[in-house]
Amino acid sequence: MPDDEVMRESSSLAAALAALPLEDPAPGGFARIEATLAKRRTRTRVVHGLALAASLAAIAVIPFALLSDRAPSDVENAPIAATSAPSAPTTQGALIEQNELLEAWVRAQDEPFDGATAYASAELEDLIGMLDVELAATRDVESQDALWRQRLGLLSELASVRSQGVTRLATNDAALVPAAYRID
Amino acid sequence: MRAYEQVYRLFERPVFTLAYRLLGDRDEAQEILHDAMLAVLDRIGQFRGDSPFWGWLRQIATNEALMRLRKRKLDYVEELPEPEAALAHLPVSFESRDLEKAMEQLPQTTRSVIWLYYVEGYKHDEIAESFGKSLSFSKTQVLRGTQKLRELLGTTKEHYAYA
Repeated sequence: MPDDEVMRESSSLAAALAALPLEDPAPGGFARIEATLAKRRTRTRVVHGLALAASLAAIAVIPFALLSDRAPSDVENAPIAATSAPSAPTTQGALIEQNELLEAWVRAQDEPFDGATAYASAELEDLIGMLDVELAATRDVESQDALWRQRLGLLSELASVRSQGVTRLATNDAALVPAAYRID
Repeated sequence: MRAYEQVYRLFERPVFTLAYRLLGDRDEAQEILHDAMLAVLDRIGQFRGDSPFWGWLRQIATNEALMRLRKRKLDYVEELPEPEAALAHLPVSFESRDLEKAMEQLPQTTRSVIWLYYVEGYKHDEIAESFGKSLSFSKTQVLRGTQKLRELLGTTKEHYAYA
């Protein structure tokens, strides 16, 4: 068969296959998606809840651990809440200030209007909450700096998600679907 | 959830159809639809707005289907086409239901290769890689599958003509 005939036949077969009618999936597909998402949310909350409980337990233990490291005479005179924060270095102060600024900006935004954005926001907020717990339990300045930086990174992501929205999909719907798959 | 549901409703039939054509099994196609739509949520950060959304989603669904195909025992046309028959042309016109029936009669792997090659625009080396087979596997499956379709469509046309 000459080449141009092969090409013509191939393209006609491709066009014929692509023009086959669309198949219908079983009904209730979206309800199953919603159920899966609901399960995922519950699972995430359980995992975060366990981590939170572990962190809180660690916080509760810290004062006793601090006290037990001291000499008996120190213990008698030691303040129970030996938690006066070390004077924050300028860098940490700047980090905290940036955190606060971004947080205020995020709070000023409207609630997410679509599921994907709300879902992503909730995930990021959970992670930020976990960092807050870790920050409350951390005394070491370097570790605190690292946590504040992580927090700033997560807040930046959250700000980006909230400002742009995760879902940019519903626009120009029909144009996204090639003719072969167009839904009529 | 409203925007995501709109996206789901808009693309559920194309995604299901693509998966069904590649896998030939409605239950598995349903699972691909489910997994691909969840993957959209999980990977939405990777979507670049400068390319069509359908192309991105189609790639996700195709990859999910190919993963399943790779786990299957391959089932394809092994006999060589007759030299005479290889020159037979595709019938000039045929009904889409005839083509669907002819496709259904192809072995599943051959059908998947034909679909990837003609409709999804995969090249032979991409098909070969997808199935973990040689380049000649893809070429011969396209050749033999096309030949089989020609035969089946010719038979079908004749059958309908005399029905």
